[in-house]
Amino acid sequence: MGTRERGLSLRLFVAGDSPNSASAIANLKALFPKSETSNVEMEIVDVEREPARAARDGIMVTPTLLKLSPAPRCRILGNLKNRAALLHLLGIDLPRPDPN
Amino acid sequence: MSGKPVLERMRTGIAGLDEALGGGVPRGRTTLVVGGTGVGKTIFAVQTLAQGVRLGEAGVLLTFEESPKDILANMAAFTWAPSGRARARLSVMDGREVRTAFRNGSFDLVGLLSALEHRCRRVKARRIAFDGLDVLLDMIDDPAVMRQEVYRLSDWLSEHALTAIITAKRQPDDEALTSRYAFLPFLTDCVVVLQRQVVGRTAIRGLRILKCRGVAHSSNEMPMLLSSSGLEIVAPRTTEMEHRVFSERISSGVARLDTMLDGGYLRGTCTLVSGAPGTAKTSIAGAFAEAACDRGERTLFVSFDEAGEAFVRDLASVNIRLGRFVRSGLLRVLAVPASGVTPEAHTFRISSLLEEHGARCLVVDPVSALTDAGAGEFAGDAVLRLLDLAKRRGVSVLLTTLLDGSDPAGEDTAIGISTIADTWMRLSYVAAAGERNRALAIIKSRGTGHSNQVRELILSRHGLSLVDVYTAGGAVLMGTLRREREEQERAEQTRVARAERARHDEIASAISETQTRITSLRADVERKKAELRLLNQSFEAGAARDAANLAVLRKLRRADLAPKEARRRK
Repeated sequence: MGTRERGLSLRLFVAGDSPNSASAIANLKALFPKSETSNVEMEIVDVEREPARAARDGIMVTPTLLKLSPAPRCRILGNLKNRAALLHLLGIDLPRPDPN
Repeated sequence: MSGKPVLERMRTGIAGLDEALGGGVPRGRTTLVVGGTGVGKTIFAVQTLAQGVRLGEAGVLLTFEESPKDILANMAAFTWAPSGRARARLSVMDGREVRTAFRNGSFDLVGLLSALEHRCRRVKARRIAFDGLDVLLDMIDDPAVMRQEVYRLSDWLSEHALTAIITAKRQPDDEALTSRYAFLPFLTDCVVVLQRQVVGRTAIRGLRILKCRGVAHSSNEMPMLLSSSGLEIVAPRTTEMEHRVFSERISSGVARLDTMLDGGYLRGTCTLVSGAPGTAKTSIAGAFAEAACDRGERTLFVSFDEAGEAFVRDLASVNIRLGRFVRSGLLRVLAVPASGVTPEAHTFRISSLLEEHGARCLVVDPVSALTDAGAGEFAGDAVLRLLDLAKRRGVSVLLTTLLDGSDPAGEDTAIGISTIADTWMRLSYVAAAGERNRALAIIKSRGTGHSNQVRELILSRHGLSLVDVYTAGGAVLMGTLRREREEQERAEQTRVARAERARHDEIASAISETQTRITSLRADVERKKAELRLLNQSFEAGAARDAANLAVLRKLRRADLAPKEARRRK
């Protein structure tokens, strides 16, 4: 996996337990098996509980995923159901089945 | 969205619009502002929020198109821009991030509402504006989902009793958001359409109230102006003629013209002077202004003449001296080229100056310059509104208008001012016997027994004067012909006078002769009477003497008395 050296920092804004937010959390977590999470910094912010943070980051819709690092920063709106497009945006190579 | 029977209003600060909406947009409700690019949607939103700040109501602006920095910089150019501490009561949120975001699956506006809720609570906002909401809504592909999200937003707004302005772009061919956002007007309580079109070289702005709950409004397009005071609506002309009525006469500045008009123009009325170039329209206007200033009345003289204020100097050559009043401040001169600005903007400026100067008299020379600026149909409206305002203020107005002398229908002025003008004078050239002379005729004058005769207008270094013209065989005589005719008339008069004097003398001498004769005859009579008296006296004396003599004789003759005489003696 290509993220190991670079260190990925993500911030996901959700709104409580609304259907879109719940699936966004699930879809994002599914990208990273347990063994891979050490190099991924992932923060989930509930805009209903922390509206100030939502305002600071200019969150208009939920869910919104911010890729904070590595550069370039980007903003992804939606429940992240398109896994391939998401991996591409985050600069993650598709995990191949390990031959060993 | 059912509410109280009467909706409270919230002032937008857009002059004219608040009046047209019965005090402002419905408070606690949402107003939709739609229009193409550059019509002033953002200014509408910002101005409404700034007005809120003025009235002590904080506001939040969420922008999806312009950067907050640009919005604040643009706002600073307007007179109503909040400054200092008040500035903080207008909070701008940047929503543009969504434009560059990637989409991956479905989303909702809960995040937006949380962020807004936080911001609104912090600044205690009562007003909120979404500038370019269509940008956000365009992100949502599924129309059903989009509608659902707009309902969510709408519910949130009414739950928080916020008065909202939502602006959205409208395609030029999409008359009233018939496409994607057709449902938006149904969700809002007031819909305003802004328009902008270029006629000639002039941009004409307009505003139409498509709907507004709680007030009977006109759905006609109203002219809109954009100046440093922001957006302004030129309110429709009052339909009832509730103008002040004066019976006072004010001088036209030309003595004989006053006589023709039964004492002058009526105060508070509008006089139209029409004529071809060079027929002395400006001189008539100048005379009026000079007379007004002579009475000590503040006057505004608007000149659309190409030469600017040069007319003040030019008028001095016909003894109309306005310079002294310009210096004393009694006369305010606005000399501007007519083109490049909308007729609305011109009339608006004139109205403001009227107010600022406290003018009692107004001259616009020529008002036809407004129509020639390339926006005829708009100009007529603008001028009528100006006249309406002037009438309501009791300002006496004199307008000049340029007429093409060769136009046979020339008496029908292009912008229909002739119908609203109370007095209409027409200046023309009469060409005959190798001369062109100026003629003045009063075509109409309401409430005035005016002369229906044509007069010759003479300009000299002593000023303006009117003289009678002669009609001979159907032709009007002016200039040299008139003077010849006057000479003839004078000679004839002299001849007649001389003859009369002779006859007078003749009769007088006849009388005196007769009287002399009477006197002498009377003397004759007297003489004869005297003679007669003398004659009588001598006769009586003679008789007495005779009687005495007789008595003596009798005595001498010792004659007896006649029986009759003897009886009397006893």
